Amino acid sequence: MNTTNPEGNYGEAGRPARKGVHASRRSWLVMQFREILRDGPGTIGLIILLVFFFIAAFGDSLTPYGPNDLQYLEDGSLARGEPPSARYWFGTTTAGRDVFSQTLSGARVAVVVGFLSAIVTVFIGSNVALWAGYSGGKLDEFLMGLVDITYGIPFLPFAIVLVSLLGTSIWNVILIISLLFWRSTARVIRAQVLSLKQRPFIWSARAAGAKPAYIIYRHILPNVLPLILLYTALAVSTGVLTEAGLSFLGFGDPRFPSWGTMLNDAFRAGAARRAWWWIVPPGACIALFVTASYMVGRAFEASTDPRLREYGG
Amino acid sequence: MSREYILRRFIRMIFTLWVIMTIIFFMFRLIPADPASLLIDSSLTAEGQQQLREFWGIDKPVFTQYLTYMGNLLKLDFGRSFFYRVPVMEVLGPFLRNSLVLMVPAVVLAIVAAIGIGSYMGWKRGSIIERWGIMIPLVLHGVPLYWLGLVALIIFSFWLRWFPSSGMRELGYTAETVWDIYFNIDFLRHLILPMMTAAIYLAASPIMLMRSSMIEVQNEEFLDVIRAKGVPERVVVRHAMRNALLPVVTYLAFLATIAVAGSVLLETVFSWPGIGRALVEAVNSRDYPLAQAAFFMWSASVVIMYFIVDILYHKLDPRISLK
Repeated sequence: MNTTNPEGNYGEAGRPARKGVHASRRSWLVMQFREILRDGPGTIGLIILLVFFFIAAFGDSLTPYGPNDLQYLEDGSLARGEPPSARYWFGTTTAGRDVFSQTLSGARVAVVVGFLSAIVTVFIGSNVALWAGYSGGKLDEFLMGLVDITYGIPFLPFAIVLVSLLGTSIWNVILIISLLFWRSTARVIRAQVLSLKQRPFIWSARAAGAKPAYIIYRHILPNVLPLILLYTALAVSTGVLTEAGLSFLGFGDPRFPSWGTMLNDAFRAGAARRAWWWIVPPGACIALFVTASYMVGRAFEASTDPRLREYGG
Repeated sequence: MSREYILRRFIRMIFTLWVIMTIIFFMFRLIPADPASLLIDSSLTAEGQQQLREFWGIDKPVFTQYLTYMGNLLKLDFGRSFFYRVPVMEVLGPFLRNSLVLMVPAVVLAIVAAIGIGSYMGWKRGSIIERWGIMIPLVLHGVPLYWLGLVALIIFSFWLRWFPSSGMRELGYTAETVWDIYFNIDFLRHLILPMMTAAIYLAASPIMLMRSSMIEVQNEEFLDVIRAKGVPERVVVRHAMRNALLPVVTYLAFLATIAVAGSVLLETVFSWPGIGRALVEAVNSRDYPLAQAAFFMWSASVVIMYFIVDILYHKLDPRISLK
């Protein structure tokens, strides 16, 4: 992935922040948004994400049945493993629950975990990157050593062990994801900060007596924002995938069943043999969600690096 | 590349491993309010409880515990498995072997395929095959591995009945020699489905990486020089490929991390008796010595992989060997 672009084109965003920075930042955000809309796959991704948001917000009133309610057929028998029909769009589970309703209600966990973990991940990652990159020296060495260590930790085993020790709650899952995945954000953004640091407008700021914190948040941060947005999008997909993987292995929060939990139930009930319709929807939703956020991320990337505009946007 | 660099990098690797193992030590001990209540499960037999106390040395101060732990690590002694009642390394050996037999061919296959497919796509950029073909790795990138495995099971195992659905050998089979487990048709039939699933999944990212790297190399001047010599186009492609390989080499280390996480999920789906499934079961049955050892093996292999790739990278690209 080509994200470092030292001589890059920073467009409007590359201007050093001046007076009225808030107004220009707002128009900058609008511009970022337009940039996504100019990018075909980016637009599609954004629409898919919005649909998932909608489902997550209003899922309870959208589902035809309660996700955990047992379904009965006309003759009064339990609807065990019914294939998809007009009544049960995605069929029923082998325990007699509606797969479509379960799939819709799984969106909430994905959205919450995906976005919360992404925000925490990127918050940690970009702060580490900004301070390490700008300060250099011992602090940089220490923080980058930390990044090295997080790369050496196998994340899924680490998550399994930690979740089993801390307890299977959704907050622990978010915490663990954030604890590890800030590493890629930190590494990439630091590289960018290193090149920005050498630019004349930073020198002038320093010569004018600006304090490091001021330079970092006022002058450097606006310039790495596109990258931060890209890594937020990527972190969303990592978060969703990790949560689903943990839930699939049986380490999910039992109070908030996610798509991974559904797949775990389906797998243990032997649905691969008897009820494929129970397995396909949750997995397809994970793939759709992850691909959508990935496509939005690519659109951000294209807006930072015009060389990457390959969709003819 | 200097010998000094390798040494420095080696020391850093050992240091990283030491920090990770220290984290593991505290993770297992200090997170719960009372480690004894977590480690000593009252449902265990008296003998089991005693074993636990001996292994963890809970009665001693934390620092002494830590020293014993590190000393044992150096000897690769992880104590006895609570569940299997034999030294952990004895249990883990076969599991590790089974995992390697599955994951190593998958990774190799994925890399070879990715280099081929990726450079083809990069070279033929804009062609119809490339424009539509790129969708496949893009979508595969977001598909969960275990779901891919489940779908493969549905199609190839339950609908077409080509491959068995679980395990490494037919049920009721007991191996007489190690050789006998792996070198026969029955094992191969069990291997193909999980291995292909892993290979396809793992190939997605390196395909895209190789493709974009190839696109970048395509416009470099040295290719024009080679072309001007009048060599056939496939020789030009070969030169381009060799130069486009660098990012893929760096990616290898990360691929190892993904393969490790993947093996946990994949082995669960295909009931493959490997180290990944062993970890999940060990955590579920609170077999901490086993979990700890499995974790160590993984960290070690990932860290060593990063070390090797780093050295390799410096060897392959003389431009950065100045550091």
